[in-house]
Order: sequence, then C-alpha cells, then structure tokens
Amino acid sequence: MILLFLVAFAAEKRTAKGQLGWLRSPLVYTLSLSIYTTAWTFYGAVGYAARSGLEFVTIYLGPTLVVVGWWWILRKLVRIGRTQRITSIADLISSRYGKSNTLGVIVTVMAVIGATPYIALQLQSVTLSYAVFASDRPDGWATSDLNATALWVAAGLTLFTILFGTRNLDANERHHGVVTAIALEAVVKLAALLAVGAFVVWGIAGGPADILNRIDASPVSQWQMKGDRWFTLIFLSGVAFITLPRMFQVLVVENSDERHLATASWAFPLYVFLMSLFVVPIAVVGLSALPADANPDLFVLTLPLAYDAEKIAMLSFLGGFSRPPRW
Amino acid sequence: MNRAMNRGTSDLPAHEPHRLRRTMDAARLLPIVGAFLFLLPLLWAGGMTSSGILYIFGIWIVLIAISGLLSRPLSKPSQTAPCARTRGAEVVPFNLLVIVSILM
Repeated sequence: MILLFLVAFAAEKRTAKGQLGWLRSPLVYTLSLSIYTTAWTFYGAVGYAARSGLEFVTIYLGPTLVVVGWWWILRKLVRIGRTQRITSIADLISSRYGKSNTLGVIVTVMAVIGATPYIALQLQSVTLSYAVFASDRPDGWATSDLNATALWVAAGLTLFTILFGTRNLDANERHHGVVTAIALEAVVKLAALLAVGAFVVWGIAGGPADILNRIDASPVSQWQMKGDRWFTLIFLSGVAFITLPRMFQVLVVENSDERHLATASWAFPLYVFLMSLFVVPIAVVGLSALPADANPDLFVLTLPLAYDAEKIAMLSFLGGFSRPPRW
Repeated sequence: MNRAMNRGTSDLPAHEPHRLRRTMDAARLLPIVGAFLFLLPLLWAGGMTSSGILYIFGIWIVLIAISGLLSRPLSKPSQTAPCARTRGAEVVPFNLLVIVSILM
C-alpha cells in the first residue's frame, strides 16, 4: 500500500511538471479498466466457481463484448465525454437536460447508495485475507481485531482518496496518480493469480491434461447452467461496465486519447481472460485437496499455504490486498 | 455523396476506403457474433464439462485475436475525426441504460 502511495505521488508530480509521457499510454488506460475487477474477483471468483461452476465467467464476458464492440458504443461515449468535458455520470445526464443541478444531485445520491455495498465488500475481503495470514500467530485473532483492521484500512484508503482523488490538479478532472496506481495494482493482481494458477496446474496437478480430467471428476462439473442467469449476467455485467461510477471515470473521464480504446478492445479482454484462466483449476484442486469446511473464496491463498509454497502465498496475499480506493 | 463519404480518407489509395468500410462493418459485427457464440451454451443439455470450458475460453481468445487484428486499421488518425451527424442518436439509449441499471 505504501508502494501505491509512492507511485501515485510520483505520477502526480510528473503530471504537474507536464511530463506526461508514458502516463498517457494505452497500456495504462487499459490496465486502469481492471478496476472493474474488484477485491471480490481475486478471491471470490474461485469461490464462485467452486459453488456455481462456469457461471463466474459471465461477469467478464459482458464487458468483453462491450469492449470488443468499442467501435459501436464506447467510441461515441468517450468522444462526447471529452468534447463536452463530462466529469461523471451525473454530469452527463444533467448536461443532456440543460445542466440541471437537481438531476445531478439525484443521480449522485443514487450512485452513492449503490456504491456502499461495493466498498463494504472490499473492506471485508481485505480483512479476511489479513485474518488468514495472521491466524498462524500464537496470539490469535479476535473478532474485534477484524473490525479494527477494517477501520484502519478504510482510514488509509480515505487518506489516499483525499490526497490523490479530490485535490484537483487537472482541469479535465483527470487523476493520473490514481490511474497509474490502479494500473500497477492490475499487474500485481495478474502476476499473483497467474503464479498461483501455474503452481496449481504444474505444481500440484500434472499439467493441463490432468487438470481437464480432474475437472470432469470434480463436483464442479455437475453444475447445470441456468439459462436465464447466464444471459442476464452477461447482459447486466456489460451494462455495469459502462454505468458503474468508477468505470465511467476510468473509461470516459480519464481517457486522454480515443485511440486508446482500440488497444483496450483487445488488451482488456485479454487481461480478464488471463485472470479467469486458472480459476476453475484452482477451484477444482482446492475442493479435492483441502478439507470440506475450507472457505472456497480463499483457495487462492490457502492452497499455496497448504502446500508450503510460501513465496507464492505471499504474492497471492499482495494481489488480494493491494488496492487504491474506489469511486 | 461519394465525396462526403471519402472525406476522412482522401489521403489513401482508391481501394482503401472500401476496405476500411468493410473493417468498420466487421468491427460492428464482432460483438454481435461474439454474443451469439457466448449464448450458444444455453442450447446445451447437461452439465458444464471440461469441453464446455474449452469452448468458452476458445471463443474468448478468438474474439480477442480478431479484435486485436481489427483495432490496428481502425486506430489510424483519419478514423477518429468527428462525425457530427451521428452524435445525437446514440446517447438516448445510454441514458435509459444508466437509469435502468441504477434502479436495478
């Protein structure tokens, strides 16, 4: 987290000096879109897969389709956002109705109500991962300690937001500091998940063929696809990709060049693809190797720990923990 | 009408505008084809075995590859010039999307 603070600070300094350079690269833009994958993704995807099979993939297929279809919708959205200097969804809606203040306030309140569960979920995931690590310590981990940890994490994230989010250095409401920190976090998350995945496929199991056999033998393959859920989740996640306040911010407001969308159209699906690739193998191996009452949400952390792969477990913990705050 | 259509592409050889328009059409078609292929599993009976997983991930990576191939010609500077006449119509459905999703 300290590293993220430093990165964000350095990025803001460079912006102030006008040396934007690689801060504006399509890669940073694409990686910042990864903010769509929350803390829940890192741990919860495996838990989801253990319980509901392949359904977890729907929340990535939706955005994949939206982003692959950038020429259709996203392009025009970004262009309108830039030419009219839109800074938020509330701004966009109210500006289509003559910059009405009341409408802006209504939309903002709705968005805040909608964002509260997200923030709660993230705080929960951070403290849970902390608890798994700290439970090896002899002095134990009481419930009140969990709440205290959550409070400290929330305080740290609030500080980060105030320092880098609301201090307006750019007239276009662009926050290069936060965006760069998000991009860095995306790389860490990907590296961590790929490391755990590779460990599971080649370290614990015997390679791809063995994994495919294990999947067929596992209770995960008993999952029946529910047609309405499959379609609805893909559609809903695609819509959410555009309309979630934080997604709107990184997608439209922070966009500095329309051509970055072209890169994002293949790079972002590739990122989510890689993040999802090892989820089912991890779930399957976790279900068979760990005790029945183990929390499947934490397989990404507990599997390497169970097999004494300490460095991979550390990396996994970092991946689930590192995050700048959300809008 | 021809001059208006070739407005943004006048610096390219004669056959280029046609190819570019085909590329744009392909780019518009890609998400629809992708959606259809991703929804195809709805027709399957039975559970999601390893072959189902291979299918989904296979379609996914093919979509990524095609999108990557299409993004190159579509990101040339002449393609991102503003098209004033198409701006208004697309925002209304977006507003509806936003309101619907916030309410959900």
